[in-house]
Amino acid sequence: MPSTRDSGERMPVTGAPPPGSCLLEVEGLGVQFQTPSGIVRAVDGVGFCVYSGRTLAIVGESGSGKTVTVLSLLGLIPRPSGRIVGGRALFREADLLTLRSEEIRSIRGREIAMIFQDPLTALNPVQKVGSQIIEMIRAHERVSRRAARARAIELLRLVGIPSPEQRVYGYPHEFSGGMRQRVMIAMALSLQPSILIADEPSTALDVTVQAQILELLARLQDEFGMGMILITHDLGVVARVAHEILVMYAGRMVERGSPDELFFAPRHPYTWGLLGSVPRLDRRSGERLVSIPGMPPSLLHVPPGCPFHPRCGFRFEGCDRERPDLEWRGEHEDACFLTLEQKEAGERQVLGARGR
Amino acid sequence: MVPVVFGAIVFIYIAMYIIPGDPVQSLVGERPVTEEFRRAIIDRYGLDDPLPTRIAKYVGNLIHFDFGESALSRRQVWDIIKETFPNTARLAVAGTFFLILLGIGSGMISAVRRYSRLDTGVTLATIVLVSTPVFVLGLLLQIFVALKLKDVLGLPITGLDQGLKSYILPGFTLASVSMAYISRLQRTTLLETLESDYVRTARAKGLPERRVIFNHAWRNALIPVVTYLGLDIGTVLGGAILTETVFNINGVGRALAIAISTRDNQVVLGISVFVVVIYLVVNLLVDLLYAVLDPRIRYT
Repeated sequence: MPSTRDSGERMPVTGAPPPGSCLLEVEGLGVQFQTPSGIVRAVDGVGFCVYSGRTLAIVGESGSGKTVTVLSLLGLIPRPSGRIVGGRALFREADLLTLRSEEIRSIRGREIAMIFQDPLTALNPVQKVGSQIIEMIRAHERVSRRAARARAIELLRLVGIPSPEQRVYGYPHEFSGGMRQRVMIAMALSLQPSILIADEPSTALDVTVQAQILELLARLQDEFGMGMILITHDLGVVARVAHEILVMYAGRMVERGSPDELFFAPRHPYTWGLLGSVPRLDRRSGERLVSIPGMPPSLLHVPPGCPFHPRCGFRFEGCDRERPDLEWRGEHEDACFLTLEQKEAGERQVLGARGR
Repeated sequence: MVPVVFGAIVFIYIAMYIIPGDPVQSLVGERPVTEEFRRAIIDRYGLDDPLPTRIAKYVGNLIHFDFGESALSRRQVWDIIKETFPNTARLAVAGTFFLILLGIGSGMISAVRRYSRLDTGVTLATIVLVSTPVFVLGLLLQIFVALKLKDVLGLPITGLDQGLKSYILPGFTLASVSMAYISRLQRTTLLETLESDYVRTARAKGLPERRVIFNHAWRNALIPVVTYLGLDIGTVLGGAILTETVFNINGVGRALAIAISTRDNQVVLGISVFVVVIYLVVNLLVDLLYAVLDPRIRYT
């Protein structure tokens, strides 16, 4: 296990991703699930880069393959029903997708740590929170229990848990939801991973607590210089903390760009729909939100061609036959056959009325 | 606990009382009974007192550990219990050992290796065990294991007087039905916790798989199993009657069976009350164990 860490090179918080310093490079990832009713193509051709000190946000509806994408990177998709059918994920010159179980185990938690959506169920209810942190430290490093406990206390202090010397002996049910998520974060940071994956870290929490958790994550990322993958369906969250946004639909990538690009010049009809359905405080009351017609497709029967075409108000001949790939189309990357002029007009039509 | 014991006493007493038949006649068998003898017996046992008075007297005596005496052997019931209970207790310990070792063990294996041949084998074995009555299984084991393999294994056919190995067959027989249920329950609960979020967290932490299964999945999957074990003590005690009879073990179960068949009411009553108390004590212990397993439970 290489001991060098990239935390030294701090990235500026804004601006385009620095080229060529990918910590984790994912290409053409495909994941399928074998179910009684057929093969579910949960993830198809997803690729991205995670840079140190920067946050990649993966946005999409439920069932769009966001979580499966990151779980497959750590070898955590349920087996034997789940299967990785293609692609690679390079991390420190090793392909995470082909590592043996013992090798991927030493990367999990130590190099790539993960925070889950629901802190109420993600902690073991019958084990003291301190023990849960300690056992993680001791699974990867040869340290004494006493030293590991001291580190656990420091970590709890770092994430803002009051009187950590006592709380380290507490059980999860003695913590509130927000505090439990802080414990999860402390645990994820305990080995100073180079990448932190946060799977909807604030979704299950109160709105006020959500903001605290996101701020905490941003502060810790600054402090440790971690690369971060933030999975969310909440565009409000994304706007504040992401450096790059990847929009997924039906297991495929549909648009990618900086927050500015995606919020002020979105180029994919699905992204327009997502943005149109977000309520805004600065608009008159009584204004209607725009919703996306129809339902997300069943991944058992992904529509041919562009998977979004049955719900797309701008589809034309060919959308149902040929599949658009995510590629550079003038301004940033998207997966839509419309011309740039059509896209600008379409965006005005859907979102323009909202007078951004 | 006290009201439960009292309720049980009243219930058993009434049950004994309403059994048809003449208690005096059943004492002497088919022979004719003289009027003086009948009078003497009725006075001796207070048989013509009203039911509430008799129950009150009985409970009053119990408080002084006076369980009455056997009408047949004239022995104190408490002495019979003192003589037979240690055997039953040892048998129960042997049974619990098999229950935990084989029941929980096989359940864990079939959950972790779900849909493997091993899992199918365990499922088949549990179905066979559940559907075989205790006395049939005991007899079959006596014939095919103790008798046919006598020279290979050297297990005794009956009794408990040959050291640890004499506990193997009766212990297994006693545990059989519960073992099968425990195995199925452990399989289900472990499969459930293996899918849970905290097990996924444990894996994402990079813990070794063994630790994930034992410390995270199994620790949580054990809680419902322990609950069931506590409730199941009654089945085990009931099974002891059959097991002790089949294996000719001088335990409370067999003593109770003999007393029932000879209408020795004081013995039936005494042993039943004793078993009720044991059942309650074991349940209390299980409840306390439960609090150790699950820190969310607090007794105030």
